Formats: sequence, C-alpha cells, structure tokens
Amino acid sequence: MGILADMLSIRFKKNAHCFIAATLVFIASALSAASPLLELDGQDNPYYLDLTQEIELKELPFGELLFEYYQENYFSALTRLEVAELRNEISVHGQPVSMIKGVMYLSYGMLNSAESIFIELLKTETQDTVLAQVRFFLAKTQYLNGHPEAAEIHLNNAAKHLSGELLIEAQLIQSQIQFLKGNIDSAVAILKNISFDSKHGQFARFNLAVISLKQGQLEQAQELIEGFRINRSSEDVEKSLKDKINLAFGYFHLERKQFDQAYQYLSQIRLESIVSNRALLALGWIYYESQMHDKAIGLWQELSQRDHRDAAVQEALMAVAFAYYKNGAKKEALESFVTAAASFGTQLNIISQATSQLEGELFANWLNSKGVQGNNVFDKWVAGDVPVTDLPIEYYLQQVVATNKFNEWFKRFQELSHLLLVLDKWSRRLPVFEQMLANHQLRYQTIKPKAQAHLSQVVDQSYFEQMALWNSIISDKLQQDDLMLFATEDEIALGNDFDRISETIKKLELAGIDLEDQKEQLRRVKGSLIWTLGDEYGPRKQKLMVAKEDAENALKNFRLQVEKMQQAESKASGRFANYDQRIIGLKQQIDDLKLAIEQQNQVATFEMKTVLSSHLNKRKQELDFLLAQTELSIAKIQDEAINKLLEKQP
Amino acid sequence: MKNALKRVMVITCLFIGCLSVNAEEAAVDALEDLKKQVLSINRELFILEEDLLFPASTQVAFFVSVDVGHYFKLDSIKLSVDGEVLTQYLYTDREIDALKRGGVQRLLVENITTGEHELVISAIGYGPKNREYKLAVSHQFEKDTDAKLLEFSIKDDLSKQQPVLSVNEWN
Repeated sequence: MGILADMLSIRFKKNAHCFIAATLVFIASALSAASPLLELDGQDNPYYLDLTQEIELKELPFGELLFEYYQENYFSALTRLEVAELRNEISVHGQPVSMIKGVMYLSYGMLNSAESIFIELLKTETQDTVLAQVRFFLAKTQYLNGHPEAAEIHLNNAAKHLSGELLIEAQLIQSQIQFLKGNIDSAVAILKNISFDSKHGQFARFNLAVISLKQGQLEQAQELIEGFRINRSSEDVEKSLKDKINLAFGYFHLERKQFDQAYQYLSQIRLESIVSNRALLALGWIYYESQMHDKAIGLWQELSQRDHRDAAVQEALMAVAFAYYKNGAKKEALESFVTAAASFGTQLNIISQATSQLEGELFANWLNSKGVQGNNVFDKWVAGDVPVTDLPIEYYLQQVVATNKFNEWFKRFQELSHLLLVLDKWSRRLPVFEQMLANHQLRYQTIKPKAQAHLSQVVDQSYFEQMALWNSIISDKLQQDDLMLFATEDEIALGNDFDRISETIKKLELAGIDLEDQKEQLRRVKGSLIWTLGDEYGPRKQKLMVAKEDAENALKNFRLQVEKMQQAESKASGRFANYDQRIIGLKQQIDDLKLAIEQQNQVATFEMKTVLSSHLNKRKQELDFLLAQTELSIAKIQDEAINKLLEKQP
Repeated sequence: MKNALKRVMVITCLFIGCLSVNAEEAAVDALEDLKKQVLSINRELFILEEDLLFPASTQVAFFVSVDVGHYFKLDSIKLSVDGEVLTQYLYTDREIDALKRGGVQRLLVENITTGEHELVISAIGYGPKNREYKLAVSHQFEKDTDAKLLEFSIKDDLSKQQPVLSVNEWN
C-alpha cells in the first residue's frame, strides 16, 4: 500500500470513527429535541389535570377558564382567571382553580409562580389522589427549575397514587433523574415499564438506546427498543425514529466490522428519510469492505447526485475517488478527486455566503417569519420534510433547529414574540379607547342637560301629588256613598244641570212663583239618574278600582325610572373618572414592556446566531480538511503519474 | 508549565460554563417576569376594554356549554336577537373537545337596550349515524341595568334519547 493509500485509509478509518460518533451525537440530539426524557419541557407536554371527577359548574368564569385551558390557550386562560379573581367571580371552585392555575403556569413556563402555588396546595391538600397530583406537578416544576433531588423525593411519594399519562410522565422524569445521577441501569429499568404506545415513552426509550450504544451496551439498547414496530399506518415521526435507530445500530456494527448485522439495520432505512444519505454512505462502506467495490462505487455515485451541502454526500464524493484509486483506476480517481475538490470549494463559498447572510437582515427576517407560528413549526423538519430553498442559510438552519440549545432559544423568541404581539394589539387599540372615552364624555355632556330637564319636568308635573289627591277624593266619596263618583262625564254634566235647575227653582219660589210640578219632575229625573248610577254601581266601581291600581302601578314604575335616571346620572358623572389617566399609565407600561421584551429578543437572537455560527464554523473546518485531503490526493496521483513517465524514459 | 496552562484552561472553561448557565437562568427568570407583567397589563386592558365597549347597563353575554356524547355532535351555532342575526359560529375540533370536557365558551358579548327581548338560538350538528341534526329554541329575556348572562346548554336527554337545547339565565 502506497503513502496515499495509507493516508486515505487512515483518513477514512479515522473519519469513520468520527462519523459514527458524530452520527450518534446527531441522533441523540435530534431525538432529544423532541424527547421529554432528555429535555423535558413543560410547554411541549401539556398534561391535563385529572378532572374526570365531575364538577358541577357553579360559576361561568370557571367554565370559560376550562374552555381556554383545554385548548392549551394558557395565556388567554390565565388572563381570564386573573380577571375573574380581580372581580371575585370564582369563589366556589377554589381548589380545582388553584390546581389549574399552577398547571397553567407550569405549562406556560412560569416555573417560579407554579412552584409557589403547588407548595401552598401541598400544605392544604389531604386527599391521596389529589395530593399525588400536586406532588407530581411540584416535582415536575422543581425538576425543570433545576432541583432534581427535591423532585425525586416528591415523585417517589406520589407514584403510588398516580395513573395514566401523569404516571408515565412521572416515570420519565424519574428515569431522567437516574440518568443524570449516572444510574443508567435504573434509568433503563424505569423506562422499560413505559409502553411504546406512549409517544413520550417512545422517544425516551430511543434516546436511552442511542446512549447505551454509544457506551457499547448493545444488549441494553436492544432491550430498550424491543417491541417497537412500524407499519404503513405509522406516523411520520415514528417512521423517522425507526430510521434513526436503525442508523445508530447500523453504525454500531459497522464500527465493529460486523458487516452483516450492520447491513440488516441500514438496509431498512427509507430512501426518503432524513438520515438516508448517511445510511447509503455506510452501505457503500459495507460493500467496499466486503470486496464488492463496484457496488460501493455505484452506491456512492448515486449518493453524489444528492445535495452536496450534506456531509454524507461530501464523504461519498471522496469515497468514490478513493475506491477508484484502490481499484487502480487512477484516471477516474483523479477525475473524481477533482470533482470533489470543485464541490468542496463551492460548498465553502456557500458557507461563506451563509455566514454573511447570518450577519445581515435575512436571519432576523427568517426569525420573524417563523416566530409566531406556534410550537410545531419544525415538526416536519424533524420528520425529514425539509423545505430546501435556494438560500444557503436555510439549509444550515434546518440542521441546527434539531439541536436543543437552538430550540430553547427559539422557543423563548417565540414566546417573546407572542408577548410583543399582545402588546402591539393593545398599542393599536389604546388610541381608539381614548377616542371612545372622549365620545362618551361628549355624549354625557350632551345628554346630561336633556336628562336633567326631563327630571325637573317630572318634578314640576307633580304626578305623585295629583295621585295622592285623587286617592283621597275617591276614599272620601266612597265613605260618603257618593254615587256621582261613578258617573260618566255626560252624567256629571247632567247632574250639574240638575243642580243649576234646582237653584233656579229655589230663586223663583222665593219670588212667589209656584213651581211644585217642575220640582217634582226634577226630583224624578234626578232619581232616574241616581237609579242608573246605582244600577251600574258594581261594574263601574270595579272599573274605577282597576284604573286606580293601573295608575298607581304606572306611577310606581315611573318613580323607579326616575330613580334610575337619578342613579344613572350620578354613576355617569363618575363612570369614566380617571380613565384618561389610566390609559396614559397603561400606554407607558406597554412601551416599557415592549422595550424590555425587545432586549430579551435580541439576547435570544444573539444566542441562536451563536449556535448557527458555531455550526457553520464546524462545517467549514470539515470542508477545509476535506479540500486539503483532496488536493493532497490529486497532487499525489499527479506525482505518481510523473514518476511513472520518468521511469519509462530511457 | 503545561500543567499550569491546563489548569488555567480548565478554570476558564468552568468560568465560561458558569457564565453560560447564569445567562440561561437570567433569561428564564426575565422571561417569566415579562410574562407576569404582560399578563397583568393584559388583564387591566381587558377590563378597560369591557368597561368602555360593553358597560354593564347594556351588556349581554351569551355562553355555550355542551354535555352531549351520543345524540349530538355540535358543528355550528346561530344566534338571533329580536329577529337580527348576531352571530354564526363554526366550531373547530379543539373547541368541541374543550366544550365536551366541561369548558364554557363565551360566544358573544353585545350591547342590548334595557327591556324585553326575544332570542332564537339554533345549533346544527350531527346525530347518531352522522345524520344532520338541528336544535332550536326561542327565549324571552328581560334586560335591566345589570349585565345579563345567558347560557345555551346542549345536553343529552337519556330518557327521551335525544339532545336538548335550553337557555339558562345566570342573573
């Protein structure tokens, strides 16, 4: 074997090791990005409270709160709850509300607030199952807050009374704590109790399997993934997990030169998988090591047709050239090395472009475009459905979004962006409120004199005094049995006419005129009138009484309305008192908060940029190394060719 | 000399590590503090907005609750007051799920004058065997100077084996 071959051999052998390690790291990080075992995140794992016990709804705001809570709209739910608390609208549903509040704080990433609520609940709660839930949530909060020891104690106390998803999550946290303490066996033992039916359990078991493989514990890794099957109906994420675990096992065996076992795993990886490039590269090495060089070259050439930004594709470009060289096809080897060198040069340019794009507006714009799309913005990316664009930065972003560090800062950025959106919304509305307030005040000033005029008119008309007078008249006349009380207007006029005639007769009689016949006639017609009135007494009295009651009721309502008008006037005068000051104060608070949020957003952006920069630097270094190796190889082949020519010369 | 250099490097690494952890913790605490402040101001503004837009003297709030399983799957709801359609609402699966678990939706808040009013509420959904099913009910209510809270409740009536839509007045 010549120097070049030795060098290449060492290079590839060394690279194979590095590659395996890198793959495992990649897999571990890719898996852990979605896994509660390694990166348990309250916000990604909304476990609902066990409210299976029916609660009779006694206060509407509690129902409203549940409506938002069950939809995971924690910000809206917490706002609704705070409003209800301020207005004292929720008093009956005390215990569940405190618990929900704690869980919502936990889910919304407000760990300190959550912890203080659970600590308070722990002091007051006595029922075993509820107490276990409180302990569980407190433990989760403490674990996320970086206090695994305290969390472990609460989980151990709670485990007996937990069930369902809460029990699974408790086991995940316990397993993670054991892992952090270095008790891998205990972590594995706990995880093995969690079914693959649980998504979180699935991720956790895969993660630990990958870690076990890294530590050379094949059996432990196999135990952890035993029983996991996928079929056509499996979800993309499950298929993707299966691909990644096959890759990890494949590389584990490849590293140990167990080619058959490695082939078994690697050949199961789907061609459209996000890890298929690595699988093809490794399969090529299996063929190569099995002396099937043509097959290896064919596979690597196929792989070379894929995206040259991918590290596995770049490795394949080198591998093709190396295989040709080993086969003695030096011309093809030289051509392949030249092709590889050109590609590496192009990739270095792309990285350089990506680096400058990172410094420019593009990254900020990209963040803004993704910032408010919710928690699942990268779900498809993790499953391999990557939106490759012409922008170099996008490709590298796809690679870093799978890392926990980037994800954590990105989530913070998203949350901060949401807070900014909320404040922006209020900033836009506040001028409208000011306008509305001015309109209310104007309207009040316009209506006030009219209302006052109306009120004084009511007072002037003295309806109530009139009614009192009528009541007194009716009561007197009833006592006197005065039938004229029930007379119609015509009858009263007739009665008055009779009285006038009677007066006239009296005057004429004083003058000595005899009017006995007329007096008798008058007495008779008067009697007839009284007779008529007496005949109608019952119905007319009834009618009068009904009319009297109606009038009294109408007046009562009228009195109420007058009172309401008076109340409304006193309320209206103070209703919007100090609102203008409140609005000014709130405006200032909004501006201050926006500033603070923007500062935090800059921190998050800087941290994300740092992750991306490191990744770009790492890729650049790898490419520099590959380019240097390729150029050395080209030089070596050219040297050999020159030496051969010189040897041939006499 | 080499050992000293190593020690300096280790200390530097630890220091950088500590700084990074502190920065992380500071960012987490700052975020929680900001969330707390935004929640508080959001509450203030929510109340202010309600006071301005829907004063109690004219406020009528309509709520929807659901306690059905077999006989009715809610799809949409339509509310009219005094012959005027106030809202038509199409539910998402998430909302339906939240309602079934015991959540109550604030369907609409409106300004309505004091006095007698008539509302008509109709709920469209699917019954057993996925057949379209419509429930409707009319209800007279009196609006006084306090805020009025009306709940539309859809329940399974097991004795009649059908869903029932009713209106509950909370005040």
